[in-house]
Amino acid sequence: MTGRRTVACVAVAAVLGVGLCGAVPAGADNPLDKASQAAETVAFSGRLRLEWVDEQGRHATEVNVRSAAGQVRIDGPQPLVATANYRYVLRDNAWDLLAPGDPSMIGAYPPMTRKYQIVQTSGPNVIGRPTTEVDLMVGPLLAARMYVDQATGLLLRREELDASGQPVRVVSFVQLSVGQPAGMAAPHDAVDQRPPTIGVSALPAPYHAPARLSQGYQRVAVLRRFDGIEVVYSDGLHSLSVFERPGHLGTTDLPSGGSAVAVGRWQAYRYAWPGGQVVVWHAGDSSYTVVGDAPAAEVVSAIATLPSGGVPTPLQRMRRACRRLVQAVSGEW
Amino acid sequence: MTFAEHPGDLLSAYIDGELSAGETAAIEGHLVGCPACRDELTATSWARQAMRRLPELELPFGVVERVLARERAKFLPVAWAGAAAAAVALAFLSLAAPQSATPPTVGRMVQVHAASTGGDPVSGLAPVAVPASFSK
Repeated sequence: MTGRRTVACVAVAAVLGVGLCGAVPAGADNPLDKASQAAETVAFSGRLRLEWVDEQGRHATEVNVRSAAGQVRIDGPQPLVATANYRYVLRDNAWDLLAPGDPSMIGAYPPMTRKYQIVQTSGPNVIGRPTTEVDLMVGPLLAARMYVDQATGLLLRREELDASGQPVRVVSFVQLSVGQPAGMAAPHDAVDQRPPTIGVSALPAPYHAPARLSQGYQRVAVLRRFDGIEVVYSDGLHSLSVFERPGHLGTTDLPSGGSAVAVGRWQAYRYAWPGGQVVVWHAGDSSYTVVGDAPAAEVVSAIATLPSGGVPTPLQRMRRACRRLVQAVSGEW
Repeated sequence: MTFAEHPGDLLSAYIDGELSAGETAAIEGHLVGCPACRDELTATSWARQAMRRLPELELPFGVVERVLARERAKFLPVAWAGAAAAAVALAFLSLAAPQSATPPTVGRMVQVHAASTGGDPVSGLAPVAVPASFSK
């Protein structure tokens, strides 16, 4: 954490969630349902502004975006294309998969109404277009505000708020033209490179994948990732990936700029990224990295309920090693 | 560094001067308040000195070789079994021991999260790609 070598990583703060309409409560009058359908069917081009707040202050960036036939191209520092199944990033003039896997691997998202109360009112004009304002409430707290274009159904602005009601992330169109955009060269869908999903009952020790976390998060998928697993959770609005890998963290490999937080009885480091939060720690003989797009306090609160074992005894290690050996030989894992 | 319990075998290493400065200070701190360990230290020191005072004896030429040859023939199967058991134990331990220094690859995991979850399950709202830099 002392060096200053910068590792440039292009990350996606929020990409088009086509094919994920299940997250939206059903109902013909639901503007979020309409927005989901509009995102798949309405062709447009425009410019988006993303603002977010972290310990270093307020940040902002703008990107051009084009969408047609359910495919979205984002011309940021590194161009990215989101199709229904894959996310591609342009590297060396060729489209590469951002990462193997796609939202179709994820199970049904919990209904948003399980956690949020949806309040719909007439909204202000956004870039000169009349909107419907949709407020997502958790009890008396306003968690998010969305402004849906009355003419097209497109979501024009989304504000994420922290517990004190302050916006921590705002995504908003600053320019929008509805109609077929030019130059939508589409990468072909790649061969199936999806990581295997894992049944929870087949999960070997020492991995954990509890069905629920606090803050209303529900497990929607367990995937084999890297040399460990990724457990995906959702509260209907935000998602959370818990990466668990065997081994300890090398603290010299951690990015700089993290702030120390407690996760249960373990010390963790939290990093803000433009799309949300990352929390890294190790417990027992596993290391954990959590990537979430909710406000920081909510992410930390949700993962505090993750089980994490203590330091295993030599006998437990021996038993786990035997089990891993048997599973490796039998091809179960 | 402090010892919540008795240092045990570390006392022997302490007498031999094999400990780090921190460990030495911790043991000395523990000894101040622990009469049992002080007694053990005294006894161990006495035993060491007594052993060192014993005279060295010269073995007759060839005794060692003859004993080894006889015992080798007798215990060859046992030795093989012991070596095999040690190899199995080593394999288990190497599998079971925690692997150190797993790189967190934070940026890569952010990408994977974005790819697998779609980022915005609400509505297919607005796609945004932004650079996220993690420095180390």
